[in-house]
Amino acid sequence: MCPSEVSDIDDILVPELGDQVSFWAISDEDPQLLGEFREAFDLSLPILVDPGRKVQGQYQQTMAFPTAAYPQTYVVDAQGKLLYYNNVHDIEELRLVLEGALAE
Amino acid sequence: MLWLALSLPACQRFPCQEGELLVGEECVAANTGGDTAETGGPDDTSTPDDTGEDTGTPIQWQPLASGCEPPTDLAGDPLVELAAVYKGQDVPGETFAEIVDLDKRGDWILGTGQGGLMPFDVSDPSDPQFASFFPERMGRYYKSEWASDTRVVLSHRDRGLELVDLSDPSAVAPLHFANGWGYEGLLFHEGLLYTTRRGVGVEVYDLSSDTLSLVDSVSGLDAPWEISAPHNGVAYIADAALGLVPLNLRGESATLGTPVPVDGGGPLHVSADGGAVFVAVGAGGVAVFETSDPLAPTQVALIPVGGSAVMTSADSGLLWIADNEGIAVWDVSDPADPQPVAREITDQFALSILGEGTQGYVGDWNYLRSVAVDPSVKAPHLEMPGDRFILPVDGGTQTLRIQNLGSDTLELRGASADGGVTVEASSLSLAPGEAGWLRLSYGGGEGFRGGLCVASNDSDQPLFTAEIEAGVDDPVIGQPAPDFVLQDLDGNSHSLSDQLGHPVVLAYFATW
Repeated sequence: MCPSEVSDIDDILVPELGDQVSFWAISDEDPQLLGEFREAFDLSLPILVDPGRKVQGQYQQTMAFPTAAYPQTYVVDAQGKLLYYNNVHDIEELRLVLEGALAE
Repeated sequence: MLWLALSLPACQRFPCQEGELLVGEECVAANTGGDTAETGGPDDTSTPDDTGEDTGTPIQWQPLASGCEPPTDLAGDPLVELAAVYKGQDVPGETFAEIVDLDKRGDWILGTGQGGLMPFDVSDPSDPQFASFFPERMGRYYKSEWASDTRVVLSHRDRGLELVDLSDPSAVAPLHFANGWGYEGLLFHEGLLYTTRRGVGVEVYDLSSDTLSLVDSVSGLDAPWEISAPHNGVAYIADAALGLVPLNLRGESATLGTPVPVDGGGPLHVSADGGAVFVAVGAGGVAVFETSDPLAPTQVALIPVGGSAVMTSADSGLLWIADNEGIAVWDVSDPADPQPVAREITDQFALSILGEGTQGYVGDWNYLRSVAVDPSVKAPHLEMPGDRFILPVDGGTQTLRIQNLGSDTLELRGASADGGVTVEASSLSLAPGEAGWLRLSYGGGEGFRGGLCVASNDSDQPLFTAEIEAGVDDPVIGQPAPDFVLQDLDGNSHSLSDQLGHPVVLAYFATW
């Protein structure tokens, strides 16, 4: 996920669905740099730090075709199961997935 | 429906999404290739010509021999890797390299990218030595340009220009930083630095006092990328929206010539060798121009690529191409009649390339690779459109466009496939540059996941293998998500398992 994409989520989906869905941005980069980034993009969603991409690695290991390429967007449903994964930025598709999950 | 393994290039923050170009103020879909449709010919009933166009000639499908055994009569390999220096994200204390540009002076190659500035000593091309990362605080540099034997300028699209001292490549020292936005291409010529800048055009800097002093700017560009080396006092700018734009350096101040449209797509990169100019246009290939009239270059050829051409480097009549999926070398001693020399799929994205005659260097996600080509060795190359193909679960066919991007005749020797899939070809042999089709046929059933193997006389890859499947859902979806606890920037812990009861979006991102 590139900067403009996490910014899209924060600008578009968090205001719409943030009271029903947790949005977590995750990066392995230096916290100070991430802090500057948060300020520059005026982000409201929590930015979690995943040193060494360990958590990301756990998720990718479960994939049929693991990749280190960004973007990576996962949706975990209310039961804690993986509902959706995408390796391209598609905010409209993400919105539809979330609306479907909330309708269940 | 056919699913191809997508090539996902690195993030680019400005100004559009990946796969888009800035045209005017709008981002439009670009021909960035890799994931473009190279399957299922016009209607799978006619043979393509060299450019993939439907010729109207009905296909006479021929079954490939059953079995996938490596041929014993392989020719030599015209392109060999001499060395690969690994600088990866999984090396403790090191930085993800992602080398998007290469620049050479004397015994030193400069890689630039996510790892910052990365000098390599290539006095022995078979054993490049990495010197240092510089500087991490700037993040991803895009281009470098030597301003003297010891000074180098770096461009960063989001942060500005930086002038550094490279007297000691193991300890690069910053000299001056010009904060700004939208910088990309760099050319140092007769004491002045020319840089392309989004929203501005060309900016000209004087570096004589070890500072970046703006002395001139020229408007008239739209979506500029690289600037070529000059020939007869004219350099060329790749502008994704306008085409190829001459930059006249012969007068007292620089001026832009009339943009020339490029047949093949929007220019992403430009290089020059003497009077020939080479414009990378993504999946469209590499457009070749001659410049007998320097301000009115004429396109004389279009070189096809297997992936998405992102960078070229030409020297001594050889053109080196990086196309994300690998590299290619063409003989361009006659620019109007380019001839394939070698094609090689690299292990990772080939992001940047630099050629010096028969010696080449390739930058990718984690490596600087040193390679050498021998144009006297002829060998075919089987170019496939992906390495994962999905077949209709109810049965049916998928047709894959293939190409011989090598320098000798390609012969398809046999194939094997799981799931009872049969493999046929529009022709069992393809001349250099020729395109054809493979057809996979599945009888239907409950679905499967398995392998495809195609044997050919491609000496690099005599056994091409891919994954094929039908009717298999992603086994991960619906499974419990791995639990984790991570801290945010404010020191708060976030546990996934605490979120049961409502959905959670995990958005992995990078600041670069």
